[in-house]
Amino acid sequence: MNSISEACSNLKQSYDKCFNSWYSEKFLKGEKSTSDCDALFKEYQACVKAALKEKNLLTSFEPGFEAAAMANAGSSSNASDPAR
Amino acid sequence: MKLFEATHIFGHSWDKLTLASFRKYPNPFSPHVVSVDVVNRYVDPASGKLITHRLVTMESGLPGWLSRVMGFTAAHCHVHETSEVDPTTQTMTLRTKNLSWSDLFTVEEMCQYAQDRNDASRTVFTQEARIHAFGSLATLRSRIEGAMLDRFRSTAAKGKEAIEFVCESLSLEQQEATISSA
Repeated sequence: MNSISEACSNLKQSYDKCFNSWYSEKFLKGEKSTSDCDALFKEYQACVKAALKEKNLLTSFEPGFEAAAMANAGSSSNASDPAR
Repeated sequence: MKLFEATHIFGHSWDKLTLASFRKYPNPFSPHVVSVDVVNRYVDPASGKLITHRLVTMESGLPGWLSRVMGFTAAHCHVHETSEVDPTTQTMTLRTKNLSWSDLFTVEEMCQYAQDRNDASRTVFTQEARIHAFGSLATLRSRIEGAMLDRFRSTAAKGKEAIEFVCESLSLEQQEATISSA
């Protein structure tokens, strides 16, 4: 699937491919470390965060907004802790 | 406020369904979805859950009268999706909320995929949505909520077909991988 920014789509697709195999082969089998795809994720995030900032969409994902959105959705308290 | 609730049993394992959920787009049943981006993702060290925040951009598809009420037309709208995958309890919970026009109305959805306790080859899907329009005119609020509910119903039905389609694709991929490694 494409990214919101065409410039990030290739980076996103490389990361997605890595994530999909990590998810099936590692995470679902008990592995907690995300390090397999960290480098690809970092590159993709730098691209997409810059694009979202340009489109004024990044503030919607800031921790305060997120906590409020989760509270509205009636989530449990442990789920709204982003642990960052 | 309008409420939508549904339950469905998929004849696929929980592992496969949760992967299908991450790989849901693109698919032929959701042509309105334009892009999907991961905005944050981590494994919560305390719970061991995989948390993912995604931004989904889709064609707005608003009824013409509502665009006129809002005073503008928009090609695209944005949704924030938060998912939690708990491999210990074998549950995946997804919450979505509209980012666009949230001062006019909110559409909040909660879905869950959980392994069927009686049959590990099946997954129980539950879905709930709350639609809430704001504003001082009760008739307008009710019309907006009705229009959003109709749209939600049709998207929800297509969403199940989309998941089935992605699960079939995953099975084919697996078969091909098995053949090529044999």
